[in-house]
Amino acid sequence: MSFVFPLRARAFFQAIPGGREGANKFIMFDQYYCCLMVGLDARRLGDEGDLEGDVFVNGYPEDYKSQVDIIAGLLIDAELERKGIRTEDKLSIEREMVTLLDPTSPTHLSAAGNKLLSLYAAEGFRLIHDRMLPPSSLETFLVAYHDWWNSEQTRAWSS
Amino acid sequence: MEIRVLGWRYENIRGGLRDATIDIESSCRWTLIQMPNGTGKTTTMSLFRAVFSNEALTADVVREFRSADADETGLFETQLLVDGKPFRCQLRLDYRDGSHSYWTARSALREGGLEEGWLLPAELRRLFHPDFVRLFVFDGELAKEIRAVGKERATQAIRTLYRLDRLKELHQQVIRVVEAQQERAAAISTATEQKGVRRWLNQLTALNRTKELLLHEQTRQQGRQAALEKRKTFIAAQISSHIEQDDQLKQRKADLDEQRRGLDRDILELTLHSLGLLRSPARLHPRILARLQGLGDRLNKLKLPKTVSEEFFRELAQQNECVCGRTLGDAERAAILDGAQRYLADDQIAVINKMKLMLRESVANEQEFTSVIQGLKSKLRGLRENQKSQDRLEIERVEAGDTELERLRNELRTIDGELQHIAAALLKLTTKDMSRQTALGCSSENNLPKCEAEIKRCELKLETATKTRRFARQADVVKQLLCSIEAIALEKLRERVRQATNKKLEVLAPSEGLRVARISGSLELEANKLASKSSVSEGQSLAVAYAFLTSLLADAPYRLPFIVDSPAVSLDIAVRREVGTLIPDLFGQMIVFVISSERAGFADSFYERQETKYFTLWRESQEVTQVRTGLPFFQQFHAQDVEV
Repeated sequence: MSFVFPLRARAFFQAIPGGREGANKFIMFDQYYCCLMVGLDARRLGDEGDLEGDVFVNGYPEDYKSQVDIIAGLLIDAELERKGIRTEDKLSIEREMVTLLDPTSPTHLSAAGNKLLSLYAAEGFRLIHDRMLPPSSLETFLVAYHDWWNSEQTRAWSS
Repeated sequence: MEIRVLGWRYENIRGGLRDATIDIESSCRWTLIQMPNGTGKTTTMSLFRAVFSNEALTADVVREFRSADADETGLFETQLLVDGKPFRCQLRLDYRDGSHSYWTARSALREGGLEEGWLLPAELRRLFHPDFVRLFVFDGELAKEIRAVGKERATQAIRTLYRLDRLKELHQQVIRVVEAQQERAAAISTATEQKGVRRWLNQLTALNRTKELLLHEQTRQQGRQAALEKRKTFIAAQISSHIEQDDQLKQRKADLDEQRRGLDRDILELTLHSLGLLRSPARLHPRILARLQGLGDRLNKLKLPKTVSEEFFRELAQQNECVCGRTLGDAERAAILDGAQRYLADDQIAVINKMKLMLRESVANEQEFTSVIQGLKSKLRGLRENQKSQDRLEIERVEAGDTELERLRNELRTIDGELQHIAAALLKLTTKDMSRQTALGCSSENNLPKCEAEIKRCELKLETATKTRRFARQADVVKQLLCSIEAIALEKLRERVRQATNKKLEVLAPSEGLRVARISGSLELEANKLASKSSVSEGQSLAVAYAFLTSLLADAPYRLPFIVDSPAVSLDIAVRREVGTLIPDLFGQMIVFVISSERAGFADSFYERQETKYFTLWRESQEVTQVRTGLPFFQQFHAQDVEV
């Protein structure tokens, strides 16, 4: 169980002061999560080549532990749509859940599920990088990120 | 290492050796085999040499061993004791096609059966070169050659017997180790020569110089940055001071500063609030919330996860009957187990149920994140407005005629521009981010991390190249030492063998004062008043050969049997007696093939020795060789001895 950071994302977020895990810090996992949410929303996977070689963190930071099942659910939802599995196809949906879930893993995701998560993050970063300037501060990023979610572009692919 | 011959056996070998066996007791030190000429002495010597040296025989040679035209196959088998372990070596001859093969039986094998191949210990494989075997499976005719034929024979015999060849092997091993090291080095660097070392050394020196320059530049830029920041703070204070010279402006500035502090507090608070909301997917955007709820509803509608789990089917497969009452066979069980994999496990079901619950219960104020961000946006706008207002104050003061303030503002702008340049220069100088390095055109010439990486690479290359060179030089020293050791050892051994040979020759050939002057490759002889003696009689030649061989073998690390044919036939009676007296004590085992005429003066010197066994082989009819043991028959054989 591990997360791999999108390639070049460190440089993009460089101006935002980071730091150790904590509510007041914009930690590296926050950056990964922001990319992941965009990728999952777009239902697109990045390439393995768009990821760094090594794992940057093992397991969810404290602030995200309550979101384990929600993120797993979002992954299943994205995968069902990406693969074109019909909403009433009970067998395929169950098979997908068997593939993606592993109750013994801290993320409740299988190795395949964890890998997909990072690939969604890679694609999310690509989309962010294409349409946003590197942020100069956390507050400007939060505003820009919020605007991104409410932009015509994202509305278009979700409709 | 000690090698003893315990016996041998013939089948269909020329000389009438159709089915003859010689058994020597292991305690027997001397064996005298009396065989008239034409009964297979030379043949036996040839077979011994072949068996000891794993000799490859031509088809013609094989067929020459044939006893009679009707014979299709032949066999010569020796029984050996190698360091106390018995071996049987067979030479199988096929007279039809002229082929041959060696077979070995080893005691180490549980079955003790014969295996095809020459399978004596590996050490003997190296030792038993055909030329070397001829030294201990020796016949009188070879005595002449010991001096002349094969110029290197004497020296080579010393090399082989005293294991000096091992030094040569060690020499080869050193070469192989150096080659392996260079191959490893070549994988990293091709610089295996001095030129390469110099090249890497120059490059490393240049890189270290570049690093020094870059560090110096970094220090300079940072120093300039700090000075400018300090100047900027000073100017900001000066500007404030100029503003405060006007009471109205002073009050407005105080208000703006207070507003700024409030905005900063609000922005921090809203940022943290936003960050908290951002970390919850359901609060991030209504679309995400809708998707979570949609998935929860879908799972509920589809009645997923199913209540029947993988475990249910696994347990069912262990029953004799299905829940429907039908009997379950192997095929049905396999199908059930195969199908079970498609169902969720109990713990997966539990996780999905928990997830489903969370999905369905996902509630969030859809607008909360937007609302907080709007607040943040508002405060950020306020901050920008506040900054503009601060600017306006300064402009108003400048417009009122404060030229000094104008100068300070201009300087501040210049400093800001310069600080941007410095920040950019420092970024290019220090960034470790690969994509940024590429974008900024960073190289080892202008980027410290790249320069340091290149220095590391260069140091590795140089270290490898240097190590390889040093390693090769050290190997050369070892090789030279090995050559010196071999040369010194060979010289000392030659001298020791020469002196021992001459000591024996004083007894064996006293009349002319025959001596070995030098063992260079062959034996170089001298005699009284003669610096060099090239022509010697057959008897003298044999005496020299025995003296040399016994001296050679006496102190060798191998205890070999000495098998000799017609040792005394060409010696006069006096020398025979000397040879007969001297030789037996020099070998741990001696097998001597004689003819009846050698009994006098030579064989009779063994009669008093207790550890001697006597065999007499002769052909009673023209066809088959008979074997008789015992001294009495050996002594009385002259009547039957038929000289050819």
